[in-house]
Amino acid sequence: MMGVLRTERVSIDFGGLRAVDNLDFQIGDEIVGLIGPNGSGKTTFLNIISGIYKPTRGRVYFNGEDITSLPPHMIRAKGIARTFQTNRLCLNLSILDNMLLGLYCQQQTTWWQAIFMSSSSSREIKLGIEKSLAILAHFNPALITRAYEPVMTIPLIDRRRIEIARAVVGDPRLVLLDEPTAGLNSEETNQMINDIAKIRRRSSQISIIIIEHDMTVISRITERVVCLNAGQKIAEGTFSEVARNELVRTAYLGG
Amino acid sequence: MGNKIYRYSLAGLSTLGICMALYVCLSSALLVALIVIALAIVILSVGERKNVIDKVYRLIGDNKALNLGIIALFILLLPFLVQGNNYLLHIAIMAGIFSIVALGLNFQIGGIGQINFAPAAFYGMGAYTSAFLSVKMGLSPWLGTLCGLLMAIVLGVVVGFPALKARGYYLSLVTIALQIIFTLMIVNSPWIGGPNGIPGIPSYQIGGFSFRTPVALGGIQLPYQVNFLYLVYILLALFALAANRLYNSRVGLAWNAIEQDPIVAACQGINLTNTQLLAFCLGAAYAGIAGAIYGHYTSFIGVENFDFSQSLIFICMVILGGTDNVPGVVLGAVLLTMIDEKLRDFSGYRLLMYGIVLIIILIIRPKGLLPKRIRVYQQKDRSEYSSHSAVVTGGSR
Amino acid sequence: MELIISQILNAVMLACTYTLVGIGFSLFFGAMDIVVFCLGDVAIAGAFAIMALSTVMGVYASLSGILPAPISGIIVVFIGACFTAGLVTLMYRAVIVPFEGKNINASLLSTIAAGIVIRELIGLFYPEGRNPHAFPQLLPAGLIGDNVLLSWRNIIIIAITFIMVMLLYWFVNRTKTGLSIQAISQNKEAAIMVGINWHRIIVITFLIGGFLLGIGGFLTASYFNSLRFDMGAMYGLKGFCVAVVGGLGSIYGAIVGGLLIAFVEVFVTAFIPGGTAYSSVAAFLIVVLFILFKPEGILGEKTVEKV
Ligand SMILES: Nc1ncnc2c1ncn2[C@@H]1O[C@H](COP(=O)(O)OP(=O)(O)O)[C@@H](O)[C@H]1O
Ligand SMILES: [Mg+2]
Repeated sequence: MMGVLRTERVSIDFGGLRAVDNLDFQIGDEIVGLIGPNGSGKTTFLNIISGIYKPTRGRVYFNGEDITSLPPHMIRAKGIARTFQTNRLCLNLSILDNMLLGLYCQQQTTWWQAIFMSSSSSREIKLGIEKSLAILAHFNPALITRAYEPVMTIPLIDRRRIEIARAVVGDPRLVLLDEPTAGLNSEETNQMINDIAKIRRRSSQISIIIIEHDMTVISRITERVVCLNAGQKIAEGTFSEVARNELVRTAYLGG
Repeated sequence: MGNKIYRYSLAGLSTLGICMALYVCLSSALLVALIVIALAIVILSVGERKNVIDKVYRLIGDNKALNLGIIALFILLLPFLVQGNNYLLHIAIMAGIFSIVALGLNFQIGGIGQINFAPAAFYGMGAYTSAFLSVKMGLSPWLGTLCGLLMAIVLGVVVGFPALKARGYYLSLVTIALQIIFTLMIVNSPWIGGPNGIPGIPSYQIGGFSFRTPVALGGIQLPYQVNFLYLVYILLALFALAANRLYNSRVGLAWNAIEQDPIVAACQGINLTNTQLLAFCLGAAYAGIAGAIYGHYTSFIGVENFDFSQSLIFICMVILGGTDNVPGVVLGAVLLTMIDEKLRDFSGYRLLMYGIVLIIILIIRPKGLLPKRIRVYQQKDRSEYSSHSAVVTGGSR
Repeated sequence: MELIISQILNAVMLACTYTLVGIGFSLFFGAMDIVVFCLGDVAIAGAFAIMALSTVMGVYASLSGILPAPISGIIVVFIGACFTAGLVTLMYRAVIVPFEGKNINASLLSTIAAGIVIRELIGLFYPEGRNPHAFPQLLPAGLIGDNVLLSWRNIIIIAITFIMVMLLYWFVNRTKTGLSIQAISQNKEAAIMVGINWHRIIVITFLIGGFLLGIGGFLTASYFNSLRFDMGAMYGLKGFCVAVVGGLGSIYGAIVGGLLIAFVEVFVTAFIPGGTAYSSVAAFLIVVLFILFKPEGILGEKTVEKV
């Protein structure tokens, strides 16, 4: 198994607080669950991978290449896409525009091409629309009829779907999902589990790191689980292994 | 088939109506102009509530060639309509020049959602560069205009750079400061005329024909303003076309994404630095060209044409017309230019009026006359997907 | 030496005038997270009110008939400052409340527009409004002893600022209302949760800030010995600069920022040949540098945006 992403002794300090502490992590062609109590540094870790924060120490390798100091847009261009814990779509833009943003990294049109070669620009956009609609159809066909509505009018579950769709539409190699089921009821959570499984079914060339609090989600879709506490990795293995781990139990019950 | 002809003529009629309304605003007294504008606001508001505006947009969009033709014809005939009245032609020229600046400013306000308080500095940079080069160095005005454009872009980088680090209030303070520094530097630079400005700026020439000579067209003697009218509106058409293409491209979308959430935008692969600088540089280029033309048109420029209050007027134009809506921005610029010129008789009340108009618009119609719309990429596909109102609702952060 | 001392004194006085309006910016920013761009114009409107009371309306003259001159002066300035407080609260209602919770660009533009309206109204409706006016001499002009450097006017300007800052310090740190203002500026939601009447506190903040602005306008006019309807634009901008350099939201930052900006301006004017023209340029450049490289200002707290 060729490693897709690997971090080496990554740490980050915020003032006196060490939010991620000496974390060694790796992921191959698989779905890895990232669990841990609130404030244990899960989101911060994703922010480091996606380039929003620079780690104080340590390195991040993607496909064997050191991406530690790259800015977020270059990391996206290399093939790491993500969603956010608090659903962050562009609310004033239509569903379609949000999807097209997910394709931005694959498109080539520069500003002068947009002005002087508008036919190639619109051809590119047309292809993007087709691709976006295909992916939307994959998640929820009802969204296609609403493609030209602003995201603001869409219910939460569909917003989360759109955000995931936006992340995968640009064919990333690695997708980071930050609590995709937060705020959903159990029915919706089930749908979401299916949606995430669909990503893998579309292409096994997508690895996924998923942060979750809901253990049924973790147990049903992840192949491996990593548990963080206070920024440190305290356990790693299959879900049942991790669930039996004493450290994990104390961390969750109030360590 | 009959339906098609019906829609065709309806589209033509609505464009014609808009042109006529503008003509009435241009040629009549202040009060009439204000009444026409108030009527327009009422029609727009009612139309929006009844979802008619959307249909009008589609009607006009489906018959683009016809409507553009009507507008072109309207501009072409304008000198005859006003019977060669050079003052009215002057207003029309200024409306065109200001529209170009406003379109450029809209890249920042409408595109990346940053209010730039220094558009008049870009505009002045173009004007002063071109005027200085052609008066003091004897450069051809055409080349001077090009240099004005380039220097404006340089200033665009200077103003745009802080926008990469500062947002909101901080950015407003930076741009206000740069605008004031710009005016102070001009006043304190005797070599470009200081407070006295630059007089005697030469006009454009094509093969010995100076743009400042009157022309006889169709047996009617027309003032020299006609040359500039056509020049300015040809440019405006090109610049508006470019702005529209940008808006509908991946670049315009990236700008909007940055406006909504820079971090999310960066995570989609958008290079924040380049994309935001682009909004400032393109805007500066628009303003630079407009400023250069202004100088060669009026033959005199002074610092008062490029100060902070001029910047505020440009901002008013964009906000009144409707941010990120190309026809809206042009409409806002044209309307405010006309009102502004008509207020010359009451020059003491001019700024007061701007202040009050701005507050009223912000309260009763914060998104402007023609609000920003959801992007519609292909007119034909659209009906398949949604007939839902495409106007952005709500939308505050 | 003499020159340097007199310039230092000059800078301190200028700093006093800047500090009060800077405090206004910081107070309102702390309370509402909003920058009210028309504060300079409001302050100058206050100065015009004081001028009107002491000249055209003749209040000062009739008061002086029955009371000693300093006391009637204090009364006139007090009334003017109260007028300013009222004006600011009016601004709050008219151009801030409608845009609460909306995109900041709207309130930014509306407060700038309000500044223009105030300015132009003074220019149009104050007698001879567009001409510069000599500001009435409410502060004694004589020298203290034989020292040419120390005039009563200078000392009083500094003393008034000092007293105002002390009063504000006492108010903010020792009274319940003041502590509520602090609580709101630190965490609005939590403050409301523990039962602070947010709306009442905001109005009080505006009243207090407005009062300080009125005093600031009075000091500015006294310092320059003249008053123009459009002085407020620059005065407000400088005040905002001062608040940013000191740290937006920090009251003491406004003092430090005021000193820094004033010293830069005075010293560029005094010691750089042809510097007069460039004193404002230098001040604005400093602000731009601060925003670019130390946006939290000298005393402000660094805030990191959480993702
Ligand atoms: N930008 C920041 N500045 C300061 N502290 C931060 C920042 N981002 C996260 N933290 C802190 O790091 C810790 C980990 O946070 P986070 O990664 O969000 O936890 P979670 O595991 O719940 O996602 C928390 O204590 C949080 O307060
Ligand atoms: Mg988290």
